[in-house]
Parts: sequence; C-alpha cells; structure tokens
Amino acid sequence: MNLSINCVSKSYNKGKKKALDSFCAEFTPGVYGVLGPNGAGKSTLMNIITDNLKPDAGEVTYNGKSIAQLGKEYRDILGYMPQQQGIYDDFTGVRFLWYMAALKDLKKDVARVRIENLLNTVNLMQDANKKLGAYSGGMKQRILIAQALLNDPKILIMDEPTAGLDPKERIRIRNFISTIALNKIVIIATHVVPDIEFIAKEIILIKEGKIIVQDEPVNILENVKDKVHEIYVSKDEVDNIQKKYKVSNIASEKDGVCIRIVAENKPQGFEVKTVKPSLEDVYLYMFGDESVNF
Amino acid sequence: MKLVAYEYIKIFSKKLVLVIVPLLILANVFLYYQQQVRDNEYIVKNNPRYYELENIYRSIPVDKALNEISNQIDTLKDFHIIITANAANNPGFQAILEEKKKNRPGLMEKFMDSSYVNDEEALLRDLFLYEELYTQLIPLTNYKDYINSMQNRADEMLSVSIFNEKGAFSYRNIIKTPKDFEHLKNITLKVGLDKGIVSATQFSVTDILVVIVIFLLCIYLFLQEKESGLLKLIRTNKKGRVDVAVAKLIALISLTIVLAVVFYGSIIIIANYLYGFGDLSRYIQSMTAFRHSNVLLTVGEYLSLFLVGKVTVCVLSALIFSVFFVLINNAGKIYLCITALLGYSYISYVFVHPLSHLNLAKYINIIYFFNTYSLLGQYKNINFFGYPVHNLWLVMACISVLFIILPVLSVTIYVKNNSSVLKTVSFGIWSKLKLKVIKPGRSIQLINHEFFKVLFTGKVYIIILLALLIGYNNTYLKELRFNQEDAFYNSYLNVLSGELNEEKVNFIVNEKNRFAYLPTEFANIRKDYSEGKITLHEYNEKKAEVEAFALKEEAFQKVLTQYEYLLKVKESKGLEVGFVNRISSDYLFNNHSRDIINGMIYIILLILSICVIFTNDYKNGMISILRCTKNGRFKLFACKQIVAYIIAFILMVIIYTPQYVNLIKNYNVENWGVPIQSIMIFQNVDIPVSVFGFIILCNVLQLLGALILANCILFLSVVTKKHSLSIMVASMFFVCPILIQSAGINFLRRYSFNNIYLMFTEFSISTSIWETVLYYMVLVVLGICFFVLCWNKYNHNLLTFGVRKR
Repeated sequence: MNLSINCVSKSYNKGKKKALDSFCAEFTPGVYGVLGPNGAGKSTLMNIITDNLKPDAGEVTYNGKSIAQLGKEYRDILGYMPQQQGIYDDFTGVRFLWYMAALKDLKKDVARVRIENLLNTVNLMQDANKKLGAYSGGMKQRILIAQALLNDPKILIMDEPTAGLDPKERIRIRNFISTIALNKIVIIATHVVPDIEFIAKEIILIKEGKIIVQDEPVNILENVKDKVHEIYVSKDEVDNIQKKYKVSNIASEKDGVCIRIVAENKPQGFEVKTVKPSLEDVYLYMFGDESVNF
Repeated sequence: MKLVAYEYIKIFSKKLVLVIVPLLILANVFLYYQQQVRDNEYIVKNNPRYYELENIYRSIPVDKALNEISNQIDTLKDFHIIITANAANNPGFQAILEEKKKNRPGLMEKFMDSSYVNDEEALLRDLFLYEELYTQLIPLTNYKDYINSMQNRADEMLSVSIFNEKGAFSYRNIIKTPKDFEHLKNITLKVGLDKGIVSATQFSVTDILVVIVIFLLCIYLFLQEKESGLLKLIRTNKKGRVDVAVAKLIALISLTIVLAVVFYGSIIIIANYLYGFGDLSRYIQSMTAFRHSNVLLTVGEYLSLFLVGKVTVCVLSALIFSVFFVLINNAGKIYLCITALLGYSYISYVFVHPLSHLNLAKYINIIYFFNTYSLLGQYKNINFFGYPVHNLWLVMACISVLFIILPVLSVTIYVKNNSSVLKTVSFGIWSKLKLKVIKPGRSIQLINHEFFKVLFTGKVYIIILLALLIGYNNTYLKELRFNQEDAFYNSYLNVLSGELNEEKVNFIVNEKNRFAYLPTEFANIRKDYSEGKITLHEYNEKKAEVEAFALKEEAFQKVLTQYEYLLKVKESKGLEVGFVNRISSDYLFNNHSRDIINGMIYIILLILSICVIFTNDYKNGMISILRCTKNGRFKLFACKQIVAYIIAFILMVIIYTPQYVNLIKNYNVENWGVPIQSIMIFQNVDIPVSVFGFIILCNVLQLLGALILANCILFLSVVTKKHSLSIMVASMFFVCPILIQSAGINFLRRYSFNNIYLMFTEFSISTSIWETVLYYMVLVVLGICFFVLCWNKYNHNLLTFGVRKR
C-alpha cells in the first residue's frame, strides 16, 4: 500500500500565494506527523490528499494510480477528520454516524456493528442519542474521529485530532491511533508535538509549501543533538536572553530561572548544560524565526 | 464615525451589492420607460406638439378654450371622414360625407386649405392631442362648483337620519369635509399635462425594487456576522454593543435615503424627459387625478413632498426590517416573517373596506404608507375611534412614533443578544417530543438522511406546515352562493352541457323563440284578461309565470353568445365542441390574479425550502467531509436534487389542489370531455385536446417548469454557499419578476419563469402552440445547463473559500 505525493504545487490568489511548492512525499503504512507553522501549507496538503482540492501541478497516486481517476474507489478507503468545525446541530450522535455510514456505502448490518464499536471506542455511547448541538468541543472531536473510522479506511487523514481533548483523552486517542495504524497510512497534521512525537514513524516538517525535513523522529532529533542547552540566570536577565536566543522553555527555580534555549553554539558567560533535544526544540529550531501572527 | 465607515466598507466590499444595486436601478428605469412608451406612445412621441397646442390655449379663459378645442376636434373628425371616404370606396362613408357637407358648408374648402390634405398622420396626431388637451382642461372648468357644492351635499346627507347621528364617525366626517376644502375655494387652476406626474408617482415597481435593496443591505449589516460566527467576537469588545448597533442603523438609514432618492428620483427625471411636467407653480388640483385632494400644493411642491414621503417610508421599512434581522437568527425565518408582515399589510389594504371599523388596519400599514400618491393626492379621513382624522396627519404621527420606537428596539435587542429574547419553553418541549417520537434514523439510505436534514435541520417542515395552512385557507368550506343570473345560467348549462347535438340546438332555438315571443305573450295574457277569457287569478298566475321566465333573459343571452361561438368553431375547425359552464371555466381558467398570487406564494415557499439543501453543508463546513466519502459526490448530489424535486412537487400539490377542490365542490364540471376550444378564451388553441386533457397538460407543464426552477435555485445556492444570500439572489431572479408582473408589467411573462404559473393565460393569449413549445424548450435547455453547472460547481469548486491556510 503506497500513497505518493508527486511534485504537487498549489497557488492561490492567481499565483501570488504559493501554498505548496513541488511537494513530494511517499507514505506507507504507519503514522506520519505533519508539522509546520501557520500558512505552511498543511491544510492545502490535507485537502489535496482528500481530493477536495485539485493541485495546479503534480498528482497524488495511490498504489500507482491517480486518486482523481480512482474517484469512488479511492474515497472508499479514505477516512478524513478535519479540524473541529460545525456539524449538524439537529442530528443526534448516532444519526450522524448512520448518515456517514450511508455516505460511505456500508451495509446495514456492518454499519450497525461498527457504529456501536466506535461509539464505545470514542467513549460516546452514553451520549449517542443526544443532539450534536449539545456536545462539548471534545465530544464533537470524538464523534468526528468515529465517523472517520467508520469505513475502516486504509488512509486516515486527521487534522488536529486531539484539539479540545483533555490529557487523559489525548493519551487514549494517541494510543488508539498507534494501534490502528499498523495496516493504515495515518497522516496527522498537528501543532501538538507530543501527539506525534512518540507514535509517528516519520515526521514531515513543512514551511512555505516546501518540505524542510522528512525523516524518522530519532534522526531529526539527532540533527539538533548539540543545539539544545539549559542555562541558569537571574530573573533580570530573562528578557535579555529572550532577545538573543530562541527560548523553548522558562522554568522558575529556587534561586533563579532555568531557560531552555535552542542555539547553534553553546552560549558563553552562563552556567550552561547541553540537554537531550525534544521535537518541540526541533520545531523551534526550524521555525523559531517565524514572526508570530496575532 | 469610524464604526459607521466600517459598516459602509462591509456593504461596498461585497461584489453582489455593486452588481445588484446598479442592475436594479437600471431595471427600474427601463421598466418605467418601457411601460410609458407602450401605454402612451403617442404622447411621448409627440410631446413637443402637445405643448405647442397647450401654449395656444394657456392664456385663454378655460370655457372659451374648451369650446374652441371642442370645435377643433369636430373639425378634425370631419376631416378624417373626408380622408376615409376618399380612400375607401364605401357608399356608407360617402353618405356620411354628403351629410357633413350639407350641415357644414365650407368644410371641403377648409380641408383643402389645411395642412392635413396630404398628411393623415398629422391629422390623427392632432386629433389625439386635442382630445388629450380637452381631457386636461376638464378638471379646470367646474372645480369651483365642485368645492362650493360640498356644503350642499353635506347638508343633504345630514338630512338622512342614518347620517345624522351625533357622535358617530359618519356625522363628524360629513361636518368636517366641507371645512377641509374651504381654503381651496378661490384657487386658480392652470392647464398642464398630468401624465408624467401621475405615472411617475404611481409606479409601484420602484417600491418593490427598493424593498429588495433594503433587504440586501440588512443581510450584510446584520445577518452575515451572525452566520459567520463573528457576532460573538464583536460583542466582546468595548464598543461592540451599543456603538456597533447605532453605527449599523446609521449606515442602513443613510444608504436607504441615498438609494431611495436615486430610485424614485430617476423615475421623476425620466417622466420629465418623456412628458414634461409643465408649469410647476400650478396647483395639483388642476389635474383630474388630484381633484379630490385638499392639500394645497403646487406641482413642484408635490413632487418634492412625494420624494420626501417615499424616502421616509423607505427608511421606516429599513427600520422594521432591522428589528427582524436583529431579533431572528435564521435567514429563512426572517424572510418568512417579513413576507408575513407584508402579506398581512397587503391583504388588509386591499380587502378591508374603507368604512369598516377595521379601517385602521387598512391605513396604518406599510403597504399603504408606500402609496404616497394616495396620501397627498386623495382626501380621506380615517375612523380613529369615531373621530375623522385626515389620513396624512395620522400616518405622519404614526411614522414619527415608529421612528423613535424602532431604532430603540433594534439597539436594545442587539445589545441584549436576541437569544435571551427569543428563548421559549416550547422549543425545548418540541425537541424532546421529536426525540421520543421520531426514532433517530437507523437507515443507510442516503435520501432518508437528506430528507431529515432538509425537513428538520433546515426547518423546512415549517414551510410545509405554512403551505398546508395557506392551502386550507384557500379552500371554500362553505357552500358557494350564486346570484340570480348565474343561478339561471347554471340551470341552462345543466341541460346543455356536453357535446352540441340536435336536441340541444332545438332547445336553444325554442328558448330563443320564446324570448322573442315574450312581449306578444304578455300582450295576449292582458288581452285575454281584459276580454274576460281568464280570471284575475289565472291572469296573475300566467303573468307571474311569464315574468319569471323573463328574468332568465340575461342568462339566456350568455347561453346564446356561447352557442353562436360554438357554431362558429364547429364550422371553421370541424370540432365536435360542446357547452362548458362558463362560470366554472372562468373560475379555473380566467382567474389571472389568483394564478399570480398562487405563483408568488409557491415560489417564495420553494426558495425557502430549497435554498437550505446545499447551504447547510457549506455553512457548517461538513462539505469537506461529505465529499471525501464514497457516495459523497454524484450520488449525494443526485439525492439532494431528488429531495428538491420532491419538495417542489409536494408544494405544488398543496398550493394548487384547493382550486380544483373548490371547482369540483362548488361548480358544474360535467362533460368536460369536450374539446378545449369549446371555451371562448381558448379558441386559438390548436391542439386537439379535451378540457380535462388540457388541465392535465397545463399541470404537467407547470410541474416541469417547477422542477427546472428547482434546478436553478439549487445552482444559485451552490454558487453563493450562504443561506441568506441564496435566498436573496433567488428572490431577485424568481420572485421579483412575478411581483413586477402583479404590478401590471405583463410583458415579463414570457421572459421569466412567470409563465409557468400562468399557463392558462399563456394558452388563452398565444396564437400558436409553437410559442409555448419554444418557451418550454428554452426552459428545458436552461434546466439542463443549470443542472450541469450545478454539478460542476459542486464537484469542482474545491474549497476555494474557507481553506484555513496553516
């Protein structure tokens, strides 16, 4: 099973804004995390893979065949969970899943079994007959995950799957994804680095429509091995440090402040300790010079 | 002020506004121009010549001018006879001409010396213009007498006991009326062409177009932020409540004023261009249309006040709409409520009797307020709790109060957040009931879910209920009563209906002969009595019998006319025609206003039902999930289309069934198997079909038109993606034309979807079936095109809106 993004490009605003620029990637069964700042092209990529958007150039193929030509066949093995959004407030949870089952062309008995299993999996059995309008944000996320899994898809696209979930649910969903991903291609776009840090087979870092890095987490971390340091300073020096370095964490301690920074070279003039990098440090290292858009 | 500026930006940044408003302004001007050129072509084309003639008689005393013009008309008519007699080799005309020459010596010489000898066109033109000038002068002649006689008429009425009841409205009204006209006794009236002023100030199409524009402005000012979820964000800011609400109202009012001035002003300008307004300093009472006005205004003042009045009413409408938009969240519900308000206003205005104790409902409503001509140009006292109050002052007082209440109400609701205003227990109960009674659908049939979405998520069940209510209201539950003439006619048709055979012909001939013999019969009975051949009792009996028979004469004349028509058709077309009860056929086939109203109701309900089918999925972003599924493309699209068609069919059945129920229940529908050409209005129909077959054909065509209409509405909803906008645009394309047609602009019928509701009119007017065939061919092609375009848009419009770039 193989999903290929072959030099896909997509522009908006009559070519003025390039969302994806000759994007190439190969996906095989496993979990893939897509990380990038706002405007990097993640949503565009998701929409192209789900055939909601046609690329300006290049194509997406599944097992060597273009997904545009496969059409129904491709959508039959696709599951999509977009970022939290509006759903039918008047639908109950169970009606919504039956509706999605009808859209996914499931047989009635198959649908019945799967809906029941999925409601249990996402812990919504008790709220199944409540209207979606009354669901909390987290519950809406869970029902969206459930609908994405209804047709037991071979390709699962998830956009911020754990947004709005509490830590316990996050862990649950994360573990659930890693169990089902054995024979699926799961592509997760997220800002929550811990969601993919431990379960992803490969991480794709994307910036301005281009892949910066696509590699296993351990290799990516290796690239920033000696670039993450902790320094101990007084409270007065914190501002100065923030102006000079990329700061990934500030922790108050008994006799000062411990600042975790990402820098090419070890900072001079401080009590410094080089530490093991995390994926967040990598994110900061790669995208830390992006101005924050408020 | 900054906030107001931003509200203007919100409006003017919308391409739809920048396209629709100029289009509507152009349409407004075009429709007025077309109507005037069609109805008054002669005057428009010969305007300079009219004013030339008017100038001649302006300074002459009115009576003398009338006399001279009358003589001139007679002379021109005689000249026309001369020309016609010379051109046509007709002994009749020659005889008339000889008579004329005898009575008017010198006529021929006068004609030969005139400029009309070789110019018949100029003769006809001048004849028409002189007659028009004569009509314009008439109001000037006896105006003083009319005013002076008011007191006498009042005294006469008060001499009748029913009007002399002190303390009653009628008494007070009679006393008041002469006093209200006292100041007009000595005014000087001058001649002037009234066509421009009257037509410009009575052109009701502009009202419809302005209301549409106001609705559009309200959508962008109030509804868009609700639908996009921005309202919560705006309300959390320091200036996000009262300041924003006030800014929106200021923007709405100012834009309404400007647009009203442009819309109505452009009509006045065009009217001046086409007709001219003449001397603006003359009093409006110089024109027949304003004879009964007691407001002393010059023409110039009237036009200015007219414009001010219209602007005021438009602003009032905008304020009323703003209350609805602020109070209600759902575009469909707003549309329904505003339609209900306008519908109630229209019904009250049209159907409440002016002297009824409910006349306040007739005159204190928005539809009446729009009739600025009536407010300024007609004298009317409204029964205000027994006291006669001049309509103008009452309306002004009412509007002044509303101008204070409505903005305060709008701002208050906006600030308080309408969800707390609208919360009702009943909604909660209904939701619980639905959950218990309607099992959450465990179905894998896509169409079941799509129906559920439309009916409940889209609240279309309310529309269906409303349609049922309207249908019920249109059904005559009580027995229909006929007047004497119609009752006699019905009794004749009970005997005669069906194919014309020898027996029926003999019956008609015998009846005809008996009517012809009636005077002789009367005379014979009198003679027999006077000769003592019959007793008084017998005389009275026979006389009563003959008199009773004589009462049927008018009804029989109708039968005879029908019979002669049937003979003509039988002879010319060789069809086996027969009698069809004209009262029944007129009820069904010759009821243009009912067809227009039904069409209007149908299209409004259809738009409200269908616009929600696609827009719901776009609104909540579900479209991206749906389209990723196996059946989420063509199958889902086809299901939605089928749902739309079924709704179109159901609404059609509900709205149009009552007229057939009424027909079968109350009218004679026997023997409608005869050819449709048996009915006079369908004499030109050139298809061999029975009356029943014709009804079925028209209904099938109507249904086909409705399905094509559904296609078009779906396409618009897929293009606009927003519920409120799709309703707006669909209304503009499909409701506006029928509203304009109801205002009297009939030429739109074949250039819009109006014709599908007016199939009976279409067949009665068109001279060939091919005209109807062509119309439907165009519709079918349109339908197919819109289906394809809609599919392409749905399938290929791949989230160009709403992609969150991350």
